[in-house]
Amino acid sequence: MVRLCLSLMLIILTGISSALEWTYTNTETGIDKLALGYPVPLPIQSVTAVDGFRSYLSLHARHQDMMLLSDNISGQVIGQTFNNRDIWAYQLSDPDNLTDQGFLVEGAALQNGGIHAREWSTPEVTTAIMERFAENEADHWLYQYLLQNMNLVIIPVLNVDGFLQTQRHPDKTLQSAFSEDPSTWPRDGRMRRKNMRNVDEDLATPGDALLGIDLNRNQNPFWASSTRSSSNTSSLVYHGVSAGSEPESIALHQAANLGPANRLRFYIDTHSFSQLWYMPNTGVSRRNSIASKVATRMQAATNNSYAISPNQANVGIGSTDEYFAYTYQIPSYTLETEPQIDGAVQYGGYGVSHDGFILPESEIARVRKELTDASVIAWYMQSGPASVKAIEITDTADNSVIFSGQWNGTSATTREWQEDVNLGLTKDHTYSLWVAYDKPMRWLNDLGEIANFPNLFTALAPRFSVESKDVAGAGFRQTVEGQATDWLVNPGGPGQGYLNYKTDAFMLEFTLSTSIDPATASLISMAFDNRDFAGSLNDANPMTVVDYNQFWLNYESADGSLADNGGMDRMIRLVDDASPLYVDPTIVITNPPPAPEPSQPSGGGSMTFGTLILLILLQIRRKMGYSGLRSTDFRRSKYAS
Amino acid sequence: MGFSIGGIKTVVLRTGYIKTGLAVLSLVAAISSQAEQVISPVQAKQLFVAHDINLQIDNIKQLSSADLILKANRLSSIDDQPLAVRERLLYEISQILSQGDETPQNKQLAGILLGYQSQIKWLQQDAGYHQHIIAFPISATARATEMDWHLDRLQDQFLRSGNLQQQELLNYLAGDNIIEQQMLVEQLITQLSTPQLNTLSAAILDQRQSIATAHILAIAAQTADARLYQISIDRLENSSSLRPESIQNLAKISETLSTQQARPVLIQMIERDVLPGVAISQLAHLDEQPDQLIFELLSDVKYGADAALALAQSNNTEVLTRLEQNLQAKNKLLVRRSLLALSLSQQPEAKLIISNYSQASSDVLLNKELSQW
Repeated sequence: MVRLCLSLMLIILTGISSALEWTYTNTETGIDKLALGYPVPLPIQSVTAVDGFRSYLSLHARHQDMMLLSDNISGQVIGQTFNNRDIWAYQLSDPDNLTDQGFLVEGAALQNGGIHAREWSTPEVTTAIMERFAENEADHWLYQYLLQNMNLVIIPVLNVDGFLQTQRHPDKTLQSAFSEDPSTWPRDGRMRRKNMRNVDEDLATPGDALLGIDLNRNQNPFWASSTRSSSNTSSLVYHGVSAGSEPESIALHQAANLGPANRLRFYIDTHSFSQLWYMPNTGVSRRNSIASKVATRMQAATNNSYAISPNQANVGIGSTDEYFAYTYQIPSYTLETEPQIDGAVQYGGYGVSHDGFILPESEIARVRKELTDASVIAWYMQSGPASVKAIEITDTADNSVIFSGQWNGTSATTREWQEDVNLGLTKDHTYSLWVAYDKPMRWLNDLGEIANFPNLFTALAPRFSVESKDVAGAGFRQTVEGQATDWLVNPGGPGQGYLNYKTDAFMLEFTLSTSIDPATASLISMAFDNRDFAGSLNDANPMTVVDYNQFWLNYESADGSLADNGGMDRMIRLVDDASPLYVDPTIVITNPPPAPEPSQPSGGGSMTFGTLILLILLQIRRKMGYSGLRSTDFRRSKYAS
Repeated sequence: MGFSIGGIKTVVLRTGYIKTGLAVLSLVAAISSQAEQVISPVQAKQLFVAHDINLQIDNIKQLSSADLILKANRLSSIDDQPLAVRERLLYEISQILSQGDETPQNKQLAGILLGYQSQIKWLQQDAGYHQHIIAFPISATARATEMDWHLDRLQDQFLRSGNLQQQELLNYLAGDNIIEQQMLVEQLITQLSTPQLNTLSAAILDQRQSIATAHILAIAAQTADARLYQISIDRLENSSSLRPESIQNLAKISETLSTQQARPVLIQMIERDVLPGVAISQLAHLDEQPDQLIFELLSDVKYGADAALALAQSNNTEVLTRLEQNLQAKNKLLVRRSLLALSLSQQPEAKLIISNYSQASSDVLLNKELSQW
C-alpha cells in the first residue's frame, strides 16, 4: 500500500503515466515494435570474446580472471553503486611503481567505460584493452614497455546497476512519458542511460522509468551550469542534487587515486555514439596542444573515421572529461564510439530513433580492435617522448668497442652520462653504431614486421648525424640514414640486438666523411633526431628526465627551449670543446645569444682534460680516409669561418 | 546559421530565410518548407499543442487507406502547418502503415513516405554536446514496413496454402543474399509444422553444401535436430565466421535439445573452438551435477575462466567441495581458477573458503587480490 501511494505521488509529481512498451525486432514492424533492420543483440554468456556483447557477469569474470592470472593486472574495488554493487577498477602495470630507469614514479592514465548504461560497446572496448595487455604482457615490445613504465587504470563498467538493467531487458524499452522528451524517444530498459537511483528493475512499475541521475552531468566544475543538463528528475540529463552526489561519481574520482592522482596524465570516458572525440580545452595552451596532438593519433587508429571536437574553455556541461581536464590539467576526452550521428543506417539498419546505441553484433570485434589501438597509441605518447639511453660504436674490422656509454638515472629528474669507452674515431674505418632509446620506436604489424602505425606515416628508417668543428671553427655534419629494418627486433643488447624492447635500438654502419678530421676536430658529437611511431621527436636532452605536469617538463627542443616538440639531441660528445650545449656546430652566429643551460649541469658528455689529451694522441696515430657509406646529407656550413 | 527569438533558438542548416520580429510559431512555419530545422522537444511540444496534434492524430487514425494517401501527399507537399507538425503526422501515418498489409493503396502510401526526406531534427543533448538527429524517421519506418511485406511475399511463395515448396526454398537459400535469406528463414520456420520441419531437415542434410551455415543453424534450432547442429559446427573452425543469429542459436542448444543430444554437440563446439564459452556455460548446467569436463577445463589457459563462471553458477554444494579440494593442488592455474569460481559463486560458504585459503597463503600478490573479495 505504501509502495502504491509512493508510486501515485511520484506520478502526480512528475506528471508521468504508464508508458507504451516497445520491443526491438529485426524486421517485424508494428505499433509496439521498433524494427532495427539487423538482429537485436542479446547478452551472451561467454567469458572469452565473441562477435557480440557479453553479459555483465561474463565480462566481470573475464576481468577477475585476468587479475588472478597476471602479475601485471591488479584489481581494486573503488566504490559501490547506488544498489551496493562493487565497482571495480583494474591497474595494468608491473608490480613496482617506477619507470625502467628508476626514481621516477610511473605516469598514470585512466579510461572509464559503461557510465551510460545503454552504451554496450563501451564495456566491450574497455575489456578488450585489458585483454590486449594480458595477451601481450611478455611481448618484449610495446605492451611490456607500457606495463613497466605506465600505470593504466581501467574501469570497465562504472554504472553497473544501469548496465544490468539494460541487459535484463535487452529488447525492451518504454516510450518516453517525460513532457520534455519527444514522443519518439525511448527510455529505460535497453535504453536506460542514467544510474538506478530510485528505480526498480521492473519495467512495468510506473513512475520510475524516467528517474536516475545522469552521471555524465554530475561533475564539477560545470555542474548545473548549462542548459545541457537539467534539474528535472525525469530528464535524461538530470544532474543530481549536487556535484559528485552519486556513489558512482565518487568511485570514479576515487579511481584517480590509483594513479596516484598527481601522476595522472590522461583520461578517456568511453561512450557511444556519434563517432568522435570530444575534447575540453582548459585555457592552458600547451595542455590543449598536447591533447590535440594525441587526438589526431587516436583518430588515425580508427582509419580517420572519428572526428575531433574541441570545445570552448571555461564552459561545460558537468561531464567527467571536464572534471579530469580541469582538475588535473591533463588531456581528457569523451570518446563517442561509432556509428555516426545518423545511427545504424551506416550498417544497413532502418534508422529507428536511437538505434546508434544498439551496435550490430557483427561490428563489435572491429570496434574493439580499433579503439584498443587508439588507447594504446595515446598511452604510448603519454608515457613520454623517447630519449637516447645508450650508444656503442664498434670498429667493424675487429668488432672492438671504440666508444660506449649510457645515461643512468640519478634522481627522478636527472640522468648522468656514464662513458665506459672512448678511444676516438679514425678516418677510413668503418664503424657500427648501436643506439638504444628508452622506449620501442616502431610499430610492428600483425606479422611482426616494422610498419607504420595504421594511417600514420612517418619515416621508418633510423638516422643519426656526426657533427664536428675543425680547429678553425668550421662546422660539419654527416648524416647517416638507414632502413626500417635497421631497428632491432631480436634480443642481444649493445652491438647486437634491442636493449629492453623490440625496436628500442638500431644499428647502422658508417665511415667518417673526409670533411671530418678526428685528429684535429675540436668537437665531435653524435646527434639524434628520430621520431617514434606516433611521430614525436626524441628529447633533445636526456640529462633531464621528462615528466608531465599540465604539459611536458624537461622535454627540450634542439635549442633547449621547452615547447613539447623535442628535437636534435647533441648531448653525446666524443670530442668535447666545452662549447655550450644545444648549439648546432654547423651554424656560426657572430654574436650568439646565451644558450639556455640545462637545468642539471652535470654530465652532457663532458670529458676530463686527461682523456682529451689521450684521445688526441690516439687520433694522431690513425691513418686518414673516407668511404661515405650511406651518407645522405653532408654539408659544410656556409657560415663557417 | 542561427537566430534566437524569445529564448528559442532555431538553427537553419542548409538553406532558408530568416524573418526577424515574427512570433515563434509563425516563424517556424515560415521556414518550414525551405530548410532542415533543429528544434528542441520543448519547442516541438509548443507547436504540437498550438496545432492540436492529438486531435489531428486521432483523425488520421480514422482515415481510410485512400484518404491516408491524400493526407500524406498533402502533408509532404503543402505548407499549411509548421514542418514539425506535418512530420509528426507523417510519422504517425508511417506507423499506421507498418500495421497494414501490402495492398496497392498501401504500396502507394509507402512510396510517398519512402520518398520523404525528414527535415526536422532534434537537438540531442546526449553524452557530449549537442547533436542533431532525425526527429521523425518517416522513410526509415516505411522501409522497415516494405521489407516486412517483402518477407511476407517470399513466405507466401515458399509456403503456399500451408504447403512448403521445399525445393524452391532450397534453391533460394543457395543464392547469395544471406541477410535477406536469414530474415526469411527466421520468420518462415516458425510457421512450419513438425512434419514439414522434419522433411526440411532431411533435405538440408542431403543438400547441405549449398546452404549457408547460418540457415542450417536456424533450422536446427527450430527442428531440434542435433545432426544439423553437428554438420554446422563441423564446418566452423572457430567463431569468426558466425553471424549474430547463429551465435544466438548456438546459445540455446541446451534449451532446444535433450540433455543426451546436447552433450556431444556442446563438446564438439569446445573441441572445435566454436563459441567455447557459450558451450561451456550450457554444458555445465545440463545436469544438476556439472559435467566432469568442466572441472577438467578449469586448468585450461583459454577456457578455464568460462569453466569457473559456469561452476560458480551451480547451486550444488558438491561443486564447492571440489573447488575447495582444488585449492590444495600444485597446479597454480587450477588453484586460481578455483578461486575465481569461488569468488563468483553466490553460495555463502564460498567466501569462507576463500578467506581460509587467504589466511594460509604466503603469496603476497595473490592475497592482495583476494583481499578485494
